[in-house]
This record gives sequence, structure tokens and C-alpha cells, in this order.
Amino acid sequence: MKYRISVGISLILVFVLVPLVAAQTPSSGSSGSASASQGANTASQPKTDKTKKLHLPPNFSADEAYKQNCTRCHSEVPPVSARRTKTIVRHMRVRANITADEAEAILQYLTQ
Amino acid sequence: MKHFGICAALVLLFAVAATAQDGPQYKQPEGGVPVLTGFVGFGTDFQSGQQQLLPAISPIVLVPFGEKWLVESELELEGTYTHTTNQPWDHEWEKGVEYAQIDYLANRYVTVVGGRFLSPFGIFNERLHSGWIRNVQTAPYITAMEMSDSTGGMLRGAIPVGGFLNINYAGFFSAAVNNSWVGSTRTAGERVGFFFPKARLELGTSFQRQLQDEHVNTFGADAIWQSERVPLDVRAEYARNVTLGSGYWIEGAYRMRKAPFWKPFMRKSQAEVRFEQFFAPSGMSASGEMELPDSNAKRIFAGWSYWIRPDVRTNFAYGREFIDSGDHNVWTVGLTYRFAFPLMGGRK
Repeated sequence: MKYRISVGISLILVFVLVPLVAAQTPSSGSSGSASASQGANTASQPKTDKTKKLHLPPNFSADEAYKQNCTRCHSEVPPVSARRTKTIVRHMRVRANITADEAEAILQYLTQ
Repeated sequence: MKHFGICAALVLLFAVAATAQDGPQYKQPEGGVPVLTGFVGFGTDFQSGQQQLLPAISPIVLVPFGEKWLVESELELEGTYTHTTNQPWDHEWEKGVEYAQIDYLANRYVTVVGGRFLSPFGIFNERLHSGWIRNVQTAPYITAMEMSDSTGGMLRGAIPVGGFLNINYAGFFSAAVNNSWVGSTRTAGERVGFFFPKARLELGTSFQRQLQDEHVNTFGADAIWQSERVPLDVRAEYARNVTLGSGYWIEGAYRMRKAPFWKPFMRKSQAEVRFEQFFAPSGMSASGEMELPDSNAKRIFAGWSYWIRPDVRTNFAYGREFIDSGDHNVWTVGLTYRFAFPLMGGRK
């Protein structure tokens, strides 16, 4: 009986606590240590929201999202606080027709 | 044996927790805050026999609601102080609402826009018209024929196709509004862009049809390309309207950050060149209220921008215009300050 209880508690620990911790952990992407040093590879980024999952091409970084989209029109982007940046990125998602995932990646790049 | 399960679970738990400390951590900022952004600018335009001072201010208010809504509005005030040889100074101020729109991010691919908005035609009107973004202060000829504002509804968005192409689109309908602040024409139109991220190339086509008075079509094409090897941007746009004429502009901008000399100055500098041409329709005058040349014209600019700070830009450009009424030089000098203040909270 005790054996069954201990196994049950163990399974609860595994299936409840591990996903909770994993949600705060960057998934083990193909980039490995490179992503850890760069800190910007969205393929290996943590899920910043439980309901959000970025759909970016493999090896596509937030840095690339910024360079490919923002610098098409802006030669300089003055830094502002994170919450202002979030509003401005939403504005630019509409204005420049940026995809939802690229906007999320750009927000990461500008606020990390 | 009975403790094996607990031990295994704890080991696994600690292993995952230890892994968590190795990887990059990203904490998404709290909700966006209302922002007052925009720019203040001052420009000059010198031509033979005429000098102009051009102060301008464009405040933009951005107010997000929840995760899907954004209310945004831009007011534009532009002054023109003109001095013509042997004449006293004359001045006028143009004021208007550039846009006052509500955006609803319906899903990943569609945004619904209602209110007054910049017409999605070409790339200059929507993306480059702001004084602190454009490289040469003088707007290209053809932007006068692209209706700048619409009042109505618009669907827009972007759809990624694999990893090699993003298709972006905008389709709109505008009602006729006769008001000095928010005037617009009854029009329908669209723009579709094809962006190739790897090549950093965007190709776009635009179309709009005026649905009041004389029904006329305007066609457009545009392109933006960024070199991955050197800090070079190339932009170009073409527009054609049967009654107003046709024309194009092409512009190159080169960031000097890799210049091997005067590094403190060069890394904040950019060299720019623009060439443009306008073809007036045969047998009729294209000008009037549209601020288009009366005859065929071409213009070339060479300019230089320098950022005193990331939000303060100075620029200087020399241009020469070739036109039937007389070729002449155009000198422009400008200073713009781009601001972004939180309207409540959000200082961090």
C-alpha cells in the first residue's frame, strides 16, 4: 500500500512540478550553448506566455527579426522602457504588417 | 524500492531546475502603457529666389487595451514661412489628423482597422512619411498623387509562407468626408507585399480606385532591399495615374559605421542619394491642388544625416531640379527630435 502511495506521489511530482519548472526553462533547442550565449534565439527561447508559441523558422533569431523588419525603415531606434516598447511594437505590427511571431521576437530583442 | 520513485522524481526535478539556470531567461514586460510619441522638426529649403523655413510637430498617441486592441492617432502641424525675393515673408500653417484609428488584432494573420488611417499605397505614405524616418526631407513628386488619408475600414496583416516568404496585405474602403481636418475621398484600394527575409527584399504592388467624381485608377509598385554584406538600403517606388501622370523615385542610403576614418563621427552618419522623375500627362496640367509639377520634371538629391543622439537627427541635402520652368538648386537642412513619453506609468 505504502509503495503504491509513494509511486503515486512520485508521479504527481513528475507530471505536475516538472512541467511547471519546464515552463520557466528554455526548451532544449538545436542551438545548444550558442543560444545560451546569444540569448536571443527564439527557436530556443522560453515560452514567455503559457498560451503563446512562436512559429519562426529554425535558427531564426530575435536579432534577425529586428534587422529584417525594423531597419527596413528605421536607421536608428532610440531605446525606451519595456512597457513603452511593448505599445510601440504593437503599433508597428499594424503599421508595417509584421507577422505576430516576428513582433513577439522583436519585443524580446528590444526588451531583454 | 518504495523510495525509488520519490528519489527518481526529486532527481529529475533538480535536474530540470539546474538546467533552468543555464539557459537565457526572458521575462516579457508587463502590459503596454499609453505612449505619447512623434517628432518635432525644423527644416529649411533654399532655392534661387525663394527661401522657406519649415517647422513641424507631429504628436502621436498610442493607447493599448488588453492584448488585442490599440487606439492610435497622429496630429500633424506643419508651418511654411516663405520669403521670395523683393517680397515680405509670408506664412501659413497646415493642420490635420493624419490618422485616428482603432486596431483590433483579430488573430495572427488579420488586423481590423476602423476610423481615419493612412492609405496603404506604396511605401512612402505609410512607412516613411514621418520627418524623423525619411532620409531626404523633401517628399518625392509622386507622393502627391497617392491619396494620403482615408476614412473608413481596412483589413490588413501578414502571412508567413514557410521560412522564405512573408506575404503582407492591406485592403481598404474610404468614404467621402469633406472636412478641413479629416477630409477624404470615396476610394477603395489595396497593397500586397512579398517579403523575402533571407534576401531582405520586399516587393509590393498597390492599386486604388477613386469612386467619386471621375472614377480613375492609380497603380503602384515598390521595392525595398537591404544588403546583408554592407550597411546599404535601397528603396524605390513607382506610381501611375491616367489623369495625374506617372513617376518614380529610387533612393540609396549607406550607413558609414564601417568607414575606417573619423570613426566617432562616421559611425553616427549616413550618406543618401535620391533620384526621381515625374511624367506629366500629355495635353493636360497635372498640378492644381495636388502639388505636382506642371510639366515633366526630374530631381536628384545627395544628402547626409548625422545622429547627435539616437533620437536627434540632423540632415543636410543638396539637390537639383530639372524642369521646364527653369532648372534650379534645392538646399535643405533639417533637425528632428523623436520623443516617446509614457502617459501613465511605464517609466521602467
